[in-house]
Amino acid sequence: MLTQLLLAQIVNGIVVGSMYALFASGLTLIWGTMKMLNFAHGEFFMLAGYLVYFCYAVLDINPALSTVIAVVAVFVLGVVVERTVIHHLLSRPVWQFTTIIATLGTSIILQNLALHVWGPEFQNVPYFVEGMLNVFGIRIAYQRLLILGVSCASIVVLWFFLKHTRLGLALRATAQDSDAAQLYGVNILSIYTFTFGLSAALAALAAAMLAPITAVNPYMGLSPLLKGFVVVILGGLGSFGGAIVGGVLLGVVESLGVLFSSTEWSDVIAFTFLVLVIWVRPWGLFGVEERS
Amino acid sequence: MPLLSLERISSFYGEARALAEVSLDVDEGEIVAVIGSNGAGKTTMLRTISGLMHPRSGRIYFRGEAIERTRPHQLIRRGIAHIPEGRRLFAQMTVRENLLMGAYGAQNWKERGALIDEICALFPRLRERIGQLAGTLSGGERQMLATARALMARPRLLMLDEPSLGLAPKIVETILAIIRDVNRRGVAVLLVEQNAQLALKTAARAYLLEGGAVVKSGMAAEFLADQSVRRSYLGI
Amino acid sequence: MALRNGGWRRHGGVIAVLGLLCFVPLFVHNPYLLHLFILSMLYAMLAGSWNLINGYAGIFTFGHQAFFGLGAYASALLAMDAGLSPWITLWFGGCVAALAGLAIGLPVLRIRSVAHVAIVTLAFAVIVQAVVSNLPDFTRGTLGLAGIPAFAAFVLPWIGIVSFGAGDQVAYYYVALVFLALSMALTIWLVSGRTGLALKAIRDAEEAADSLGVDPTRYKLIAFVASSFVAGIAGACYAHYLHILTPDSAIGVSIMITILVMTLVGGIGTTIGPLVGSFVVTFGLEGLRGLGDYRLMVYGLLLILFVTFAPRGLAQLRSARR
Repeated sequence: MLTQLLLAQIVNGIVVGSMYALFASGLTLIWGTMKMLNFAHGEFFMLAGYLVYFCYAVLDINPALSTVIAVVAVFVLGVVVERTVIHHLLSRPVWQFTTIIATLGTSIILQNLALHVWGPEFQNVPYFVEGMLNVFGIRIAYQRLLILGVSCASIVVLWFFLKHTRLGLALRATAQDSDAAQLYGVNILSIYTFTFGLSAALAALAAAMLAPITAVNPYMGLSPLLKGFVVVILGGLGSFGGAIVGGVLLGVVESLGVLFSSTEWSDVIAFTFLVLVIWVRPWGLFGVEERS
Repeated sequence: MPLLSLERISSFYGEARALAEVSLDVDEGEIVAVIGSNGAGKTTMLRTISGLMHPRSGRIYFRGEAIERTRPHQLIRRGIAHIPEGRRLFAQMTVRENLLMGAYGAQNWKERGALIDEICALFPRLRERIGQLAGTLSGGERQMLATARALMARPRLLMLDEPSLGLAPKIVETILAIIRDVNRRGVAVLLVEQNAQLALKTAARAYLLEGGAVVKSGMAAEFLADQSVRRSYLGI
Repeated sequence: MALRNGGWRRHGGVIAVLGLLCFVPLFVHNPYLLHLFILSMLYAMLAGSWNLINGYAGIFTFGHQAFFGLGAYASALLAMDAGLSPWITLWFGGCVAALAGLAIGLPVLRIRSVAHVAIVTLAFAVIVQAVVSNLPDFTRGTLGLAGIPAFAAFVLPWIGIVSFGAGDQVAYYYVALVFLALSMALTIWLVSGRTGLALKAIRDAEEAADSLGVDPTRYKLIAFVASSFVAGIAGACYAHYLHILTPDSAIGVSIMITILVMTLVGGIGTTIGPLVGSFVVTFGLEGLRGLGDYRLMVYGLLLILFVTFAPRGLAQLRSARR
């Protein structure tokens, strides 16, 4: 009985963790290429959640299409935000701070926009697929399997994109040495814009998958953002693989932790886990040791 | 008309002047050396030509077009390849991926497979290490990779910043031999070096930069014969 | 107290502002306005303490609210449960915060990556907030700790009895001002003396400073502990002024954001920056209240505009004219 409970929790942890992974990979992509922390990431997540709610729950559009709409719309939003708010800050002094404030400002605007339009209530989004799978005595909702499937597929696609396409190569080059990348033809300003949009799209995908499970409200972006930062550091700043592993790991640790304590302590568990890992390995699981 | 022409270029870091009215020419198919001690402005000059820095005054012409305000990523397409100080390889990419980056900006992305074969013929050691991460290569191999990467772009002008730095003499000889070979095929070379002896033996013409200004220019042989140059820069 | 670096003269602006603040209660009698002044001063202490490690030592932390909250809760709980006078417990609050600063500083300050320090300190603050929220038997949890005792009354020559009852805002005002002045003095002393020079050297070029024999960790730690101590004192004053605390109002991330905004608006790395910034932001936010629902959206927009056109804060605008 206990083994089954443990296994169920681990599976749940992997499912939620894969969403953390997707969310965090966006953050780590931005850090890797632009060396900035995007505090509006949670709001891209939140807005995508609302878009899926609006398309699927309200307009009754097919969930797959709703997801695509949400992801594309948020990608465009990410591009717009980068071009209007972030772009000019990057080449100016103290950009590490100004970009944080600018993204904070953006997050406040977006959050209150959502609050204004939809109100503070939680909105429910129906499951995309109903029913449960029963395997080895463990019952897993099909929705959660769908989430797992989508996240695995996205991660593979993303990995392929980064490794085997020309644009992916340019992105990695920008992350590793932006001067050298420019010398060899990479328009880094365009890369920044694209990366920002891509990152937002990843958050949007995570939101679309999670919306039926967690319900949608204007403040739903804060907790994922905090956890997202944890995952990024855990996995190693700038490491895409690290974000994936870190995300799943965090999900599992959290799930197991909830088993032994309660949901209120899940945040504490997550963050304490992070602090412990960093203590032992300051640059994270897959991070490159910083030699300033 | 020279291939590359700098006319009274002045560059600043904030309020500090790094280049003072520098004028310089490189003709097609030439090897030109720029020597000078540390901090003389040699790297700044290359960065200004590459567009990583914008000059405050002066003009830069490449094949007749003014490029002093051009953004850096557009210059490789026009035919300028810059091997920066310290090589600046993409350490977490493989040798192959670094070479691919060489072909990224120039108009030959489609031919990249054939290009890699061609380049590896010049650098057999790189072919052996084609799947290795660039960060794990030795110093000499890194310089080879950096040079190969630049050549992937089929440049008309190759700019090298201190290629001999930190390398054993034998390896430096190999690199210079390749550069001379490339030059024979029509690629102009702008060679910035702290090792004046090496630079003056390789180049046909030279400029001496001191404190951000050109203090001497002429044929390399003149430099080698000049007493003050010999004393200050050749240690003779 | 020998001060190099231009000493007191360079901080003339700070002294002028503090001087002006002495006279405010003579002209301002509206309790709500006085309340805003008091909040501004407490925030000035808090933002000033953050600016000490960030603007001067170059360490970007994102968990400073934890020290504020720890000072607040420690002082409040000790006063309530042990019956001690808040005049004593507030120093205890500062010490608890300073100890926390030491505990966090030791492992964290060795990390050179800015993002790491920011996120790990954020994690620490979130842990503190969660722990405080989830120990309702001890801290009354998210419902809030109410009934925090006020400062004990005392007698001053010429003025008579100074009490801290419900209507005695002026008394609270001057307490806040005194502590603000003390913390500014401490900051100025730290940045003007040898520690300040060392910190600036570390901020600008850590390896160089290291090779010159300046032990970066030791100076960073001094600044960190001093900074958390001041934050704790500010928190304690906050607790005994408002008489109520909740984990969100005392340890929430929004506090950190406010500190960030105030310091940036005023000017990072200057002593007058956080001081001016806290007043501008506190009163500015109040001014926006007329916009109702759109208040926060405008706040966000102003943040973006501000950071685009005046990234070095108001202090920059002044010096740019010179």
